[in-house]
Amino acid sequence: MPRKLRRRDFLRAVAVGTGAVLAASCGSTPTPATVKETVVVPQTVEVVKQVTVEVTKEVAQTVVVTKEVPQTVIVEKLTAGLPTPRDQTMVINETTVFRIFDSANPYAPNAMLGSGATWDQLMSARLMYMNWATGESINMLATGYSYNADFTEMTITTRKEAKWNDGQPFTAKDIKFTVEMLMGQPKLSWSSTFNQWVDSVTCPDDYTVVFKLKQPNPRFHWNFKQAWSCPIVAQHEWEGKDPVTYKAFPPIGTGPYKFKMAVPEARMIVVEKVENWWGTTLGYDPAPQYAVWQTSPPPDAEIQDLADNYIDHAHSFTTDAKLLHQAQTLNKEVVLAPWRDPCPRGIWFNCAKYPLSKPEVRWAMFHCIDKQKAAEKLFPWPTVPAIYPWADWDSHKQYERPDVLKKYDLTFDPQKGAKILDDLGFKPGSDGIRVDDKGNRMEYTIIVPQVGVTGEYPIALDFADNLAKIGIKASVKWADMEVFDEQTSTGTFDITSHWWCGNWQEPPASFCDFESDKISPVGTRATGGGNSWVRLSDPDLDKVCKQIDVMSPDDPKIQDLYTQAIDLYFKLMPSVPVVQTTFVMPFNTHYWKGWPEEGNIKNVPFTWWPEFQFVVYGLKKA
Amino acid sequence: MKNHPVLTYVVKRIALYILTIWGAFTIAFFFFHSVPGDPIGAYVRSMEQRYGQRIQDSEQIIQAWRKSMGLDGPLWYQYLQYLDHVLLHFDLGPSFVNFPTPAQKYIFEAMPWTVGLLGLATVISWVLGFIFGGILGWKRDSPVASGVTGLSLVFSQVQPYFMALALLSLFAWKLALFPRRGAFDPSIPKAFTWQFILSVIQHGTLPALSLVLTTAFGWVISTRAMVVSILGEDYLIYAKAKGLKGSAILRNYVLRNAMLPQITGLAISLGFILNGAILVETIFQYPGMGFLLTNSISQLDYNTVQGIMLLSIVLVMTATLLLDLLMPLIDPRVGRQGSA
Repeated sequence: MPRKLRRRDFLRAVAVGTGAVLAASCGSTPTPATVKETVVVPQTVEVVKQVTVEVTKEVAQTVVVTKEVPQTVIVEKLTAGLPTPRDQTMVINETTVFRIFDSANPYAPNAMLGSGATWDQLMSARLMYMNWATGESINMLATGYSYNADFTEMTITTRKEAKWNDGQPFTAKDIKFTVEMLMGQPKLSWSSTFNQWVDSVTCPDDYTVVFKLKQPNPRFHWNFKQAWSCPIVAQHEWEGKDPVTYKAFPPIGTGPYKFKMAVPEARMIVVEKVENWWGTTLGYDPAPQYAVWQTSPPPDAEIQDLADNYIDHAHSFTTDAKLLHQAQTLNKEVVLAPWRDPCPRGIWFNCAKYPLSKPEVRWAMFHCIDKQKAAEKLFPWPTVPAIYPWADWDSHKQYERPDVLKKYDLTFDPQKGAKILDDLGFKPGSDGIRVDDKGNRMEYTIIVPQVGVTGEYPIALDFADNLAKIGIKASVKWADMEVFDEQTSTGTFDITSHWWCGNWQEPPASFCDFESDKISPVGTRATGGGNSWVRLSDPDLDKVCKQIDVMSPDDPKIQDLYTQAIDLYFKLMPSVPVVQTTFVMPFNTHYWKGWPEEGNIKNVPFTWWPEFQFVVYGLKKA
Repeated sequence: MKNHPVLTYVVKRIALYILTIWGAFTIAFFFFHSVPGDPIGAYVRSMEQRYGQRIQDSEQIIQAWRKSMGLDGPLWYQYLQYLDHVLLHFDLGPSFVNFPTPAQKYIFEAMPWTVGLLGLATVISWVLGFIFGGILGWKRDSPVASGVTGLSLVFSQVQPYFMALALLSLFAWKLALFPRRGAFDPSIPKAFTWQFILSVIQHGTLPALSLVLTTAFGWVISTRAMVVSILGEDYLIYAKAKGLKGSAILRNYVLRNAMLPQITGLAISLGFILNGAILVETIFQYPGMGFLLTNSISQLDYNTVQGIMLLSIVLVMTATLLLDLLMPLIDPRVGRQGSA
């Protein structure tokens, strides 16, 4: 007869099981001595293996050795968090939480390794680049481009020595293949752009590609030259694959580094130098043998990592003045490289909603924005007020129009705003809140995207306080990015406080996003692209922009059109640039020297930009 | 069935188990999908801004991707479609954050880390809390016990993330005895080797300690309270009158009776471990479910979040069911009441 399970047996079994678990967990916990042993071994993987062979026998020996090792060395050796030798590795942190480690499709949403980290900067060379710090053009895979007289045809010539990192030559046919592949699949990024403009692509030879355009476009080359320009993929790899689901992993690129390994649990991607990289013929020869990109820990932990030379760049406190200074205090080898983001922070109005649709009302609100206070006190790192809606880079000085500014009263003065509203007849009601001529209470919500950590929220709060002084009630609300997108895109918002991102290459052309024919009805998603979601409509601006659209940026006559567009922007004031956005990049010179630092920034120091590779080319072993 | 009360009990419990899982999941599905926001639209917008593209046909792109992600059609249709995928094909759908990788891949990658870390930490803290709580209750009149009880009250209110920061600061930063973060040393290949196992234990020690050192005190307090209430029972007076030793009374009468509600608490705690210890995992960059869950919520990765919710619901309900089924073995009174 089978024996019946008794209560006592069951309890005994539970007790024994728990004891076993306890014993296993306690017994296997490493002692400090074991850790010290890891500390003193050389930085090679092979030596680390010795630790596990006979731990107990080695302890006494290693304790003696530990006494001879300075504390700072102990700390550095414990960077065993790296799978490569620290002194041969550039370690960059990034606040993006990496979740993609098995795919390198640059066109499908969320299908690129590390959301682009290492691919954009080091593994994928683009055709051309701009050095936004100096305004210099850089030809990489391409040797140049040209247009025909009426801008309906653009030709790109490619570099003969360029190669994919699997040894195959890079040719113009790869460009033709990439563009045609994207045009054939509307779900992919770049598809709609190429379908809008490209009539056909041909390759007269291996190093020339000709785009016939559907209509004149003197700016078509920017698709291959702007930051994050269209990446070209290898025909010999992608041909015959479904570009929507193809993972292209490990990636084959044309950049100076190739994929080595990913450690998903550590949210880490490791790349290593391509031997005999073709780009060395151009003088680009990066010093680090390996580069590691990994997700930042919380700021308190990351600053300690920077202090102990675990990492070369910390990313979680690039606008936190207190932590940035503390990092330099903790580690004298940390240098700071402040640089302007291309997108100033600003206030946007829903121009399709009455009475915000009236320029006078927007100007009344303009006078309630204290830009100076925002720059000096509300932004987490001291910056300067933004006058124009673009970064104040030297390369952008040419677009400034002081004569236009003289026409407008740009002062912060809520009483001037109150007077404008009084003149419009928008008088305060019994509760002190103004009412417009259609009987609407002037009561608004200012939404702030929750990803914003650079002063958008305090700027909105201060703005709301000032609006209250002139009888406009405003409340400020965080919105998740998805919610923010939904409300702004469908025109179901009042006011926002967020970034002002336009056309970096040619800032006045940003205003052409406001062309009337790009406006979608309120309630449906804005499909006009760019900043068309603001739903501004003005026939004069339309007229100017239609001319800008088809005129080359190199044509001297365009300067007058720029002036007119800037004038109309200030007259209509659909949005207010408030402060220049300064990010401060802390770099560690302990292992690598040549980082950009204040007063000596020759390349954009933003680690997430493709152009960061030019910073890497300038590094030397410390 | 009338003649088989135990079978009736089991069938009723299992039916309730299935119904509760379905109900909880349905509520969670509709609740999460009612959160405003469109992850695809946000992606296309970010693509426009980051890449400087002027996407004229964004609505067309958005609709195409919605269909791929199972986000097209009315909500009830999405719900039925999702149930069909999950129940009939065991497919949670593609993760939006890494299309077209199935969401379950992420969940199953994160699960062992969380279950290993939190499961062990929960059991260890329960055992320690139960033993010390029992002793504190038994010796409730001694000044030492009073002092320790007071300290336990204080430490039971310390949050694991605070303990994590304290341990990190002392043992990882100052003394450099333990790694600062991660689940293992990336320089060691992932394999079932002593080297790798030691690395996992070394990396898991501080996160586990931060949980054990805080939650164990909660168990101490609750066990002590339980024991103190038992000490006034008549059967203990009778046991003392019989001349039994104090240790025997504590072991066989006091702790045994105090154990029942504590085991229920343990089972429920184990059920909840799938949600992860979000802050502790974040501080130690531990690749567990808590970190995955917060990240997926922030990116509206519906399929991954729903997968975690579904597993969590199933685990909690299963733990409760098993407890109900096993309770008669632990406490004979439960069986007698059930059959009465």
